Amino acid sequence: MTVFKNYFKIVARYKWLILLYTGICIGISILNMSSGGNAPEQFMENKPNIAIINNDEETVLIKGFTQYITEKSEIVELENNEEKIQDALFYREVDYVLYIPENYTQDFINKKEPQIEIKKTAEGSAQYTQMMVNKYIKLADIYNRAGMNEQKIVDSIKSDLEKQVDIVIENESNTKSMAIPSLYYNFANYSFLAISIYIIAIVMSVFNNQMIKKKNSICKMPYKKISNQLFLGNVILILGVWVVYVLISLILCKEAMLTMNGLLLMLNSFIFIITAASIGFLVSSLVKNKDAISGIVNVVALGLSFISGCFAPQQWLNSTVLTVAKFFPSYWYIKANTEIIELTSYGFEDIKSILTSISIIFGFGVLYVFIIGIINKIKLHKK
Amino acid sequence: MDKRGRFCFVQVANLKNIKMDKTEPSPFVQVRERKESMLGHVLKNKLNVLLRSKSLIFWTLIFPIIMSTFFKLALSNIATAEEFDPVKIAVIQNVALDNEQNLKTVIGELSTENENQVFETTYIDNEEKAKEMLKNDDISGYIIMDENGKADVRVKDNGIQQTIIKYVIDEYYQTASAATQIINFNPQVIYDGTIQLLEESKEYVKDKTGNNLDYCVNYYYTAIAMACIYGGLFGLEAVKETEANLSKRAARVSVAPVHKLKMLFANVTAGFIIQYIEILILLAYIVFVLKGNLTNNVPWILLLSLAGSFAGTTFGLFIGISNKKDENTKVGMLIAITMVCSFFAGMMGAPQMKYQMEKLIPVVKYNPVSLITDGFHALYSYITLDMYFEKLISVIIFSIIMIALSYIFIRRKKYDSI
Repeated sequence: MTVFKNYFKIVARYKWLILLYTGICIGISILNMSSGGNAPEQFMENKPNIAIINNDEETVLIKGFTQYITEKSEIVELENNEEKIQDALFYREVDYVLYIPENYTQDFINKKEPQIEIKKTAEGSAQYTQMMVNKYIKLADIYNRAGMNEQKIVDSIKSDLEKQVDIVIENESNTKSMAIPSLYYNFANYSFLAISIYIIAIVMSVFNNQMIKKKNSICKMPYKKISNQLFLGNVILILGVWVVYVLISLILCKEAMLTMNGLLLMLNSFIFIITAASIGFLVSSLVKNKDAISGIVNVVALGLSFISGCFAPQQWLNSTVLTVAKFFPSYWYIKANTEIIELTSYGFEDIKSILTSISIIFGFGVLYVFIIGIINKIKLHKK
Repeated sequence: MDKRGRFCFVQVANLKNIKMDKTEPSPFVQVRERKESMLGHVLKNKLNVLLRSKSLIFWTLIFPIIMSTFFKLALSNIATAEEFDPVKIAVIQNVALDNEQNLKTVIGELSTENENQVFETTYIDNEEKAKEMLKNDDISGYIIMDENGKADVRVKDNGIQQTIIKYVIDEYYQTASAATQIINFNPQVIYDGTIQLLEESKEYVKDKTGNNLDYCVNYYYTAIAMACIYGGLFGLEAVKETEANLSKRAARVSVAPVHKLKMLFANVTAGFIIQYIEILILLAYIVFVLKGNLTNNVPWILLLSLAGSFAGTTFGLFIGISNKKDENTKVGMLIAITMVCSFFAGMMGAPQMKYQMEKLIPVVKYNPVSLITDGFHALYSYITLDMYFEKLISVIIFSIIMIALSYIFIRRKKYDSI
């Protein structure tokens, strides 16, 4: 195991660089996770986020209306500052903003048909809010036309709105409790790729030095053995990174991670990081120029992350991009993650498609190692 | 050093230069020949040298172009994915439903294909099938009437789709309740048309949303901002060419009768010019090739890009001057810092992430990539230009700080031995 031992001597030489890079990537993953919680689309709360800017007095009608909205939604307190409001809408902190004009109640009672101005996003929850708001005002309008006073209007609407059907949730999925770990593990697609390619390429650049290569090729040890030991070294180094990554997730969301879903997330990421290591190994055997390494790291890691849905959910991507993405392990990694967090029963039939994805990821790893073998053979014959 | 000595040194430097690198013209020799327009000459030569550096051009131009292409590929569906799609539901056909004709009509109306369509309804005979569809996510929920004529809604999950199903069924009962209440209060409403209003759909709110809510553009902004800060590589290069302990050429140059700051100034200016041209190419690529709808305020975009490029160059200058690490480490530092800043500017994640992050740790929004991104965002999203100028000025202040710090480090630097 001479080569294997030597590999780690070189790792020791680069330890600060490796630690720094790993630290940055893991740090970003943690930040990404802590800022999340309201990941878009699939984890949408059934309460839309609404801001109310009331320029009218606190009249009975306004109070009744606000109370209804408060029950049905999350009220977000916003400063009455157009830029803040615009930002909150732009970044989807609120879905719907209501501007109640001055003297609204007075005009309303006098049947002047005043209008509440609104701003909204294009999302489903904004649509829903619009329906709610319209319903309330419509009822109020009709009661007003029938001659009720303010208090009576509010009370009548209240009793109408109490009529509700029961909603039965059948086998509820646990997407919510898994939302935070899923952000962390999806981001791992980027972190693992970036770390693997960078670290392996940096360490391997020492072995790929022309002089050392020549020396190695005339030594007694078969070339294949050297290559295998180097690959083993890479895998062990990268597994170290994986252990750290998983430990952090265990510390931060212990409960979610110690479920079957959490364990599957770990398994998926374990197979993925091995494949990522083989990508790193492949890159290092293709690229000679040390300067090019950071370029390739970013293009490969960011590129794959974008087209496979690591940063933005897969349903946002168009079908052509997704078709292309299927030729890379990242797509299958994210797909498996998405299915894992939605899992509620754990029979073989339920996890079959997840296991298929994981096998595909592993298959890619094997394929890359195979390609590395071919490349090395070609290179050897050239010499 | 006397005149002759200097001359000898030039000769040696010149020979060395030819031997080492034939393609790069030595600024030094020409300085000697035409002292009067030295700055212009250094600048011209520097431009030539920089344009031949593949790795510089990659990071400052090709990489941002690749990134923005990825954004285009990945996010072209966002706008459509976000729009409201009709909720897929199933309705169980049974005797109880036939008794509730009104509800049937309401669901039928809401399922008609038009721009206000709310449901996409499948009618099925047995509940088992509906359960199966629910399990496979073919529908968001199903409605079943029980023997007492009460509608039950069954869903798998909490979510906006499910909330809308419940809402519609609720409204059906609420409208019925309202009708009863209002007739009890004032039977007149049946005759004067007021009761009909319950059936009508009328908008009681006025939408004043501008259409500038498309957050895909933010990804382009981050790509431009990132490219600006990657311009720091030109700053680094400039330092490498002037600080005697970093490159052989710089060592030669530093014994020349040229003021170091002047030399540095020429180098930085050359880098800055190329950097800005590259940003213009990137902008053109985003607007004309990727069809990104940045905003119409072209002059303001160009101005902010200029300030951004300057911030990038000076940032590189600072990193180059402030420490004595070797060149690879400095390049690594610059790239790593820029990537982290780009992350904070929202390049790697859902748009909400940037917003939440800034709420969590407000200080992150003062990094240069975020400042430039936010400047563009202000231009795109706000009516007034106040915020734009605030960001523009912040970017300029950032550059000034970088220059001031660099000056402190470079001042009176002399070498006993290198």
